[in-house]
Amino acid sequence: MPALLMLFLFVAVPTIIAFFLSFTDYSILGKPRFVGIQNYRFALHDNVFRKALFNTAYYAILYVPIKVILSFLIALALTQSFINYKKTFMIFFYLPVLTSMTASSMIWLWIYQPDMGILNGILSALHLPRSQWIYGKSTVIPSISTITIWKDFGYDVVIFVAGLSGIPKELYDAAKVDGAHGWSMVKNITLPLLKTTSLFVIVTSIIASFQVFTAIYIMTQGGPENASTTVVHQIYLNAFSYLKMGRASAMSFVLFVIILFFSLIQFKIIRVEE
Amino acid sequence: MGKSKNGMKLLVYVFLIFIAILSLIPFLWSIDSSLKTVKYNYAHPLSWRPKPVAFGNYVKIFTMFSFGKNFTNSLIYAGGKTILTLIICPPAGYAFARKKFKGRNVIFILILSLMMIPSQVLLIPTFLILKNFPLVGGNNILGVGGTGFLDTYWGLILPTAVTPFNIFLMRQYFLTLPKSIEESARIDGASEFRIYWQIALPLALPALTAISIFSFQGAWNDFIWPLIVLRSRNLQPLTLGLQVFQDENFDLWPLLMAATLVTTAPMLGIFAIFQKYFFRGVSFIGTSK
Repeated sequence: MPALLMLFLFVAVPTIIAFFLSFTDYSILGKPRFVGIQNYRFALHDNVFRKALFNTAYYAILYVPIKVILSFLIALALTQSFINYKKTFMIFFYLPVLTSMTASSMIWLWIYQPDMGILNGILSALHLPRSQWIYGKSTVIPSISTITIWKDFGYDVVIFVAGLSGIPKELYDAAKVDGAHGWSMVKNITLPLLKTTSLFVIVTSIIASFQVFTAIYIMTQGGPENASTTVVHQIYLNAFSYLKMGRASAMSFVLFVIILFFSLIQFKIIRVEE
Repeated sequence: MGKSKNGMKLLVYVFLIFIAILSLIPFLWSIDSSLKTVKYNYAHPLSWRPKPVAFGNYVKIFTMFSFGKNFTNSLIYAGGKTILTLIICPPAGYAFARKKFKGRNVIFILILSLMMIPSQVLLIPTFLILKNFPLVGGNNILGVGGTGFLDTYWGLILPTAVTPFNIFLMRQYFLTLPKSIEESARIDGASEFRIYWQIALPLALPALTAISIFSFQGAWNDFIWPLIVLRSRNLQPLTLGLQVFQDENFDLWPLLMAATLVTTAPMLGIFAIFQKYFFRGVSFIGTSK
């Protein structure tokens, strides 16, 4: 099968090469030289890479819960029987999903612009202190996660709406007869029946959050003072700017282990489903 | 009771409308800014009323970046990848769903386990494989001497076209189809290829649309892979082409916004036409796990 050949050539073999390279000192020019676990030791002790790990985790902690809970609430609102224009709402929510991360970054660069941007304009008009947004050390990660939450939540809304629509209406009707209402129905019927969907959304969001790169590359280049450098940004810099391919491969395996942990949870869910 | 119900209704609507405004406002603001002259924008960055309305910005940007060229490149990357995905992934999914062959389950589990490998692990080695691909791009049979598939359309398309996820998705879909139609065709003497091509494949249309749309959108919006594989400006897709505005003077916000919107428009057009397939596709992915 051609599919197997392609997967072998562009997934399996590269993984093995990356694993091999992670134990070498390789700069494209010249031959790889075996250095043992030095790259891993470097990665785990390097202040910049540690900072990147910290930033990425911080980003994930903001991005995942806010996005998932928000999308769930929106989907819940959309699937109420009295809601009209459900499709129109979904189209509006989905527009940011269609936009490339590059385009989204450009739009938000303008929104966050410290002197002329609309956000600081609004703050000034309200006589509130201005913010440095993506140019401030403490505000850059929350600012970036605001963009990606804005960009991605519509996707989760569609998934949650599909999951919610799959719950038989009779269950709610029966619960109503028993006197249940509002949040007790959400807690006792919706959430348990939506478990698989929710776990899928949560796990894929966690995995995606650990891979954040494009917004960082375009908007901040990891700055100010590495306050927004992330794991993938460090992999990119080490591999293609510093030509430290071995070190970058080791970093990519650190990322791999983190993602593997969450993927295994996801696979376990699929297994249970099957 | 009736009153609180109406209050609830109102609350839900207010919430949805509020979120809708939040998702639209960045676009509306960038459209508004794109219609200001650079000078006016500098003097009145917060005004919602551009004076004069500078439609000319949308002409000017075409002299600043090669939109046509970038657009064609995006189309070749996204279209090429989608076509290759459609040729290669469905038969594989079909084989795993329907054919009995030795080691089928082991191979399938191996493919599933490839899904766990993040694409960032593959960046460097795939770059090296493309660079050292034998007999292309000036390389000899040992893969040295030239640049291989680097800085070519193939370098973009080949490594990204076949994903374990697409094979998995196709297999799951084929499994949901009843076997009986295929079996009666087999009794009528149809060849295996005909059964796949004329019976199974048309029935799998929802899954095929889902993988096409997401292959296309993935490539159209891709940034990191073109960033690594391409060197020449004339091969750059829109996502990279947009960057020339960043290199320019930073006061040109209206022009940057105009260019950004223009690069976004084609995807919105595709969405306008295939909207229901997008939603079906996402729902399908969310529920087929």
